[in-house]
Amino acid sequence: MKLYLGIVLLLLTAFAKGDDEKAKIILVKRILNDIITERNDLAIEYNLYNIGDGVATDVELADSSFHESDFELISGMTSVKWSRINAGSNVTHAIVVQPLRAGDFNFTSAVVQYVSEKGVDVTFGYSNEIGEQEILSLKEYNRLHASHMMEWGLFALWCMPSIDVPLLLYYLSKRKYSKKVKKN
Amino acid sequence: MAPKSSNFSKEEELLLQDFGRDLTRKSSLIFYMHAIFVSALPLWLFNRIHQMELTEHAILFAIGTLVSTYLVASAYKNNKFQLKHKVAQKRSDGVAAEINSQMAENDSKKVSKKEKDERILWRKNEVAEAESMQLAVVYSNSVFLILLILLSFFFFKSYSPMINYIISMIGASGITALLSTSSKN
Repeated sequence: MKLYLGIVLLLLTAFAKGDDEKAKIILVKRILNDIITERNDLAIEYNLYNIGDGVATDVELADSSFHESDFELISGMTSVKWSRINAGSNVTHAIVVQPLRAGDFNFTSAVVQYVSEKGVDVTFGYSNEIGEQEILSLKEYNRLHASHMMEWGLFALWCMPSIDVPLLLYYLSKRKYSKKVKKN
Repeated sequence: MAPKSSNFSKEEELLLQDFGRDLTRKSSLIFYMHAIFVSALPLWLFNRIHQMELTEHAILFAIGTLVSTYLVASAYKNNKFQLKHKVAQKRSDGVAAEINSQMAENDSKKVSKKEKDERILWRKNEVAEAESMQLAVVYSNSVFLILLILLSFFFFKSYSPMINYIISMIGASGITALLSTSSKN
């Protein structure tokens, strides 16, 4: 009897849950570069996770933070659509832009809109806000991060006359007077 | 008590040269040429690595180079003075052997012991002067360049290039001059 009642309750719960299957999209925005430099490629990745039980339909991602006065779009689109994202699955989208100016830039959120279940209005969601990041000028980037192997090599070469030549003269003189002592 | 005028005997003059800090004009010129060359070397690094334009910072670079030249030259002078006696002691036998062999070759006229000793002293002073100058230049330049690289590319790397230059140049040349004033007994 108890077993029969338990099975009935379980089935009722399953049906009840089935009626409330809703999609829920989490949008994560990431900058893939360690260093952001003027006139160098900057890769942005968007990950959309459907953590709900239902299928998300008419999914649209839009990021309006890369205005053409500040960035040049190199690859990808800032506005993308997916017809559906199944429950428990995820999709990834990436774009590549180039900053046109050095300085601090505030990377704001991207927006996702989708239909979480049939007959319901569009749901809006926002990604994480990356916040203010420094865009280095090329000059500053070269100053801090370029290897400068050639510059160091040439510097070592310029140092030679001021160190090696006097040292050589000293050793020649030292050898000359040491030999005279040994000879005598 | 020595007279105030410069009427010293040859021996006294040699002793003064040996123990005095004063440099001859030729020595001073050599030192200042070395100092200005080694002080100008960092300009290459600051221009190519720190991206400081030579024309934009010409006045700063000129002042920095001149201050560094003066400090490095005084380091040369102090180090040379300290090294000269050690070098003179080490070369004593070698110089005596050189003078003896020269006199043996020209044994047509007999040379008095006093004259021989004077020649040895003079030659010893000359050799010690040259070698101590060379060693002082090598030692001071090495210390200056190592300190400059450490200060500019490690300790003050994140500072603005202009502040970096001022601190590195004055720090490196100042410490080099300071180290040269220490006496090791």
